Amino acid sequence: MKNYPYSNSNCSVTNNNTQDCSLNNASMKNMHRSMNRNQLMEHINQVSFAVDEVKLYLDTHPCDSEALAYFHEMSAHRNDALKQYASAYGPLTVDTADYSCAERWNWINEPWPWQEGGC
Amino acid sequence: MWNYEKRLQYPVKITQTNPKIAKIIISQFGGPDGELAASMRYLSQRYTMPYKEVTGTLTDIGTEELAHMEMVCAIVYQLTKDLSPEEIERSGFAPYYVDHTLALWPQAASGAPWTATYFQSKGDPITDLHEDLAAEQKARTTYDNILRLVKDPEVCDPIRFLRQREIVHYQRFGESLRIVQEKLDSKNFYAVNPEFDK
Repeated sequence: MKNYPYSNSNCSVTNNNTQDCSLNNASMKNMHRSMNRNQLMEHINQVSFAVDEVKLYLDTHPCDSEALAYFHEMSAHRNDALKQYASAYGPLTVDTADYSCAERWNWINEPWPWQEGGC
Repeated sequence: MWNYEKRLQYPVKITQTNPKIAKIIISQFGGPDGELAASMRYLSQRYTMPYKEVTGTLTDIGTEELAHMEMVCAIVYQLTKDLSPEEIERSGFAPYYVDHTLALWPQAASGAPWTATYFQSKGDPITDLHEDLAAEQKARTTYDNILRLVKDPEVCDPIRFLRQREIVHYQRFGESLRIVQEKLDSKNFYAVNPEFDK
């Protein structure tokens, strides 16, 4: 049977991807900090979609190191942008609720995503 | 375990109500090829799936379908927000309104309530993945049908996004089916059911 690229899920090929997975570079953080609310929300939607898409692809192509590198890059953007959004405007996830140093529980304050002004 | 994220997968911002079109689009919430049935189908099938790539695909697509259900509900909600009794009367929305007011309830465009009979969880990977491939195409056709009836670009835009996702999911399920077949006897895929036979 033809050997499909995704057929070997145990990745016998060594992953030569030596890139720095942390990718927490200052320029990314500065970029997120310089965005206004709508820009940051749009950016979160875009990088989150990239994560959603490459996640599904990786499920059936777990040895694709290029896709894995893309996942790391987009995931780093998403996580930092979610933290930045939480600290500036309120949390979108419970894990970033910690970053909004408010005196009260802000999870319920901002509009829900189907409402006007929501995400 | 699931976590809620307080945003839509793709934004829905509709400024003009249209209860007539809401009555049609609600089918992708609780209709036979809608997002609720899609999510329940994949999330039910995954427990007995013996191949990790396919279990992952069912989990992640089943999860994304929940986000799509939320988008469809947001569309219906915004299309019917603050309707007056006169608008409800005029648009033919009264039969839905009388039972649900302006709340969301999973039903088909015909009014038939959502039911688990819309999907199968058969316990055989070849059978289930064929069901999943067909389901993605049926949902794609439904979105195509909706797009022929909807003119408002604010509604078309998220519907086009949802239609596109059906095509991507179909691709991933096709790869899943090939992964399953590679693990089976190439002379007879049906010799054993890897979800049951030892």
